[in-house]
Amino acid sequence: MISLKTSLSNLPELKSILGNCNSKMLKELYENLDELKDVTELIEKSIIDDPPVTIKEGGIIKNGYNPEIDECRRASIEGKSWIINIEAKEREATGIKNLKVGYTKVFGYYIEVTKSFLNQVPDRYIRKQTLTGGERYITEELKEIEDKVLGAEERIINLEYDEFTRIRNKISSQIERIQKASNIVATVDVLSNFAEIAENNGYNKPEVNSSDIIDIKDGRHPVVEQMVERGTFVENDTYLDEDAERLSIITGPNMAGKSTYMRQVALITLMAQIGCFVPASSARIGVVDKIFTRVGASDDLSMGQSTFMVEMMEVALILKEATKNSLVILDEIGRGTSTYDGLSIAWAVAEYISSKDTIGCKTLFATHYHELTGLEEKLDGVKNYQVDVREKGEDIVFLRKIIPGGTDESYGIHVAKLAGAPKKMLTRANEILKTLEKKVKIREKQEEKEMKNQVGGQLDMYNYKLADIASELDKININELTPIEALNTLVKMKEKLK
Amino acid sequence: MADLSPMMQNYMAKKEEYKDCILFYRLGDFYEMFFDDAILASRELEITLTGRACGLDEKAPMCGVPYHAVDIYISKLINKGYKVAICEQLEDPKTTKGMVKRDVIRVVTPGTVIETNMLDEKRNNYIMSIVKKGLFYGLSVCDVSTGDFFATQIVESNNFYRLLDEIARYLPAEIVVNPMMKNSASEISQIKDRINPCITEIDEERFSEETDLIKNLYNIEDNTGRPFDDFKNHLLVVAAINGLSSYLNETQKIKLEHINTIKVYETTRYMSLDINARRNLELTERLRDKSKKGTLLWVLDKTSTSMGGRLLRRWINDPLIDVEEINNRLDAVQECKENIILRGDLIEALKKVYDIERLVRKNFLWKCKC
Repeated sequence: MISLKTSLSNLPELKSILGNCNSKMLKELYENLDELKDVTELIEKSIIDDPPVTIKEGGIIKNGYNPEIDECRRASIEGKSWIINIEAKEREATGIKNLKVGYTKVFGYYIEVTKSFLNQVPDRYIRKQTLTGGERYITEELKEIEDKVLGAEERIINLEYDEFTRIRNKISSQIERIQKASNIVATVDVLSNFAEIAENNGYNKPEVNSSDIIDIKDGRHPVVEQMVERGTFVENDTYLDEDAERLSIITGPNMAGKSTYMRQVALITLMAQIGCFVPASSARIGVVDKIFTRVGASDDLSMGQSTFMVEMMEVALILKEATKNSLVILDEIGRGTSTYDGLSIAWAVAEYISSKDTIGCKTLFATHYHELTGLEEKLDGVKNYQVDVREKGEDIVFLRKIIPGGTDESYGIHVAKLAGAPKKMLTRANEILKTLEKKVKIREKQEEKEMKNQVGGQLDMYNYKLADIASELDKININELTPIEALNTLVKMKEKLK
Repeated sequence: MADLSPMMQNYMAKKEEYKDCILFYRLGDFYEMFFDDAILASRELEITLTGRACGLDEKAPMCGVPYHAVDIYISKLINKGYKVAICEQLEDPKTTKGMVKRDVIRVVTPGTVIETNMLDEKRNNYIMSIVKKGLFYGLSVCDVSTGDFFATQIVESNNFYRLLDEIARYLPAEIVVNPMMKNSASEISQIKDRINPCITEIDEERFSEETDLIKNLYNIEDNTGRPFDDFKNHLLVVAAINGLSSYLNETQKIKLEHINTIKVYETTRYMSLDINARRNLELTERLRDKSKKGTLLWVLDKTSTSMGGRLLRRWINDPLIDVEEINNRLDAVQECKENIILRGDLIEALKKVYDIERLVRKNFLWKCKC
């Protein structure tokens, strides 16, 4: 209850601070904040500042609050001084110099005399208890005073308990007011917290409106930027609307920052809609009604075959539930199945989600199927983006910058190298890739005319296997791979080639 | 039964009433458990199993925990998904002749824990009720430790998805359901797949559509704080509230003074975020280890009070879609950000405020300490 008082006693200060505010919400909070002075005063007046842990032993109520309690306390103190007086009086009367008055819980007050003085004990002493070193006695007078003292103490405890209960009930009846005040405290806390965070982390105020545009300049991922060295996070712009730029197809190698980028857009939108400043130099956010994400299945891998089913259930849900005002994040749709199945599904999902007849919502779509970049020309509202990658000789550097345009390089082998795969395997993978690419190129030329609106081409079994391995490689999340797993994966790949 | 000692007879009678709970039976300075409860609890709590003469030929298996450390043991059992019924001595043994009267004063369940040491102070601990009728759902949700109580209903198409959404919003520790909900096996298993709460079925008639009782017990408000009276079109809300209210009453045994206001809201007020999105975006929990570090909440939480911490978590889980409401918040944040003195003073003042919500509950319910 004292903690309650301490807490509530800060309300007037809080209110006076809020008194100078200009914004509508803070003003309203100021007006609605009940200082609860009556409750604070009640506790202040009645309960001592450092009360005991249990309420059943008295010593809770302040002096001067309840006259009856005060009266009893006086009686109890007087009684105690009488008892001290008795010690002096009896010493004088009996001549026993080391006569003592003491108290135990079981026997109450007593007079103690050591063995050597037992012969001086007068008859009016009544023997109560024998000890090795002496005897304990009581007298009529002592008994009388004891009754008064102990009686008073018991009464105090009862009175205090009753009084405490009354105070508690009084406060109890104000519980709704206390809860309302506490809600306001919480709200002020969150708002000032947002301001503090905005200041510390360099966030800016987003412009939130009911348009259909999300336009973020120099956006950052709020969490990832805290994990990396300050100032090293690569900023990215985002522009999405419900017309010409509904669907962004983002291609680029794994690990280049596609997922981070897409989550960042979702998080900035969400932050704006909870009333928080955002990690961007500027942001215009047209309110979205729903956010969906379908992110790669790496975390479900342990579930084995059902992974693809789970993925498809999630995709189905998104297609069913998204409206044109939603924001959808799709990361590597169709990964959990064979290359061509996956590509077909990804392609169809992109069409469905971008078409105004079906959904037509703002979508970020990361994929390693570079074939999807072809959608930019075929469909309304699709734009291609890629993650900027520099090649330095045989190595690559991820710049984590999202730039317009599509890429057909997935750098899977580079990534495998970064991960420390054996050189021999890498060389072989490169060889395979080159043959594969050549074959596909020839075939593509042959089949270009037939293809038109259709997807991909046909591959013989051998190439299919290779493509499968390439996609396997692509899927591997190096961060989660133990050396043994890496070895096993290699073995599996070799087996597939046989 | 006839051969059992009088105390054990009393025990058996109480146990019969609370079959689905582990019964903590107060004997002096200990809470004792007997028979199957004892075997189970001694294993789960890693305490010694002994026996006690009970009047039968064989001793009754028994184990016990000291009363002053009971919270720790209760929290262990609750965390493992059990419910604990606490049976107290109701009379002072000093002034009673014969056996003291004992009765269950409270049932602790995962959703109704109030002991502060069992709760994460910056997080609400919710209990939810779901009533399913035909294709529609009513739901209500309450935090017994703070007194927050909300209710809504889902009466549009694709409604199970919406329900999952609401469940993801609150992540209740416990869900009380009506038989129809419980019998929807695939829905229940989908809920369990996602958050694995303790699910308790209670009788259909407790999800009554009568409004008199709840109108008496609570102030029922809409989003804006005005009294809510459109019960006719919100019978599922009424049923959900009745169900939860009756369950709280049954388990908590006393009038919960601090639970006095229910907010009825429309699910369309907030941005819809399905549980996958909440997880993938790592709003309040990391995908990998469920920890708070590395989440949006972790970045945004420098709140000064526990109440603020809980509200922040709620705001992150409930993004708004009303432009005006959002801008009101943003303007307030802007003022605090630009006025450095104001911000400093506010934070300074807030730091001195303890957890009023839970203090209030602590002061006026079961345990009363100063």
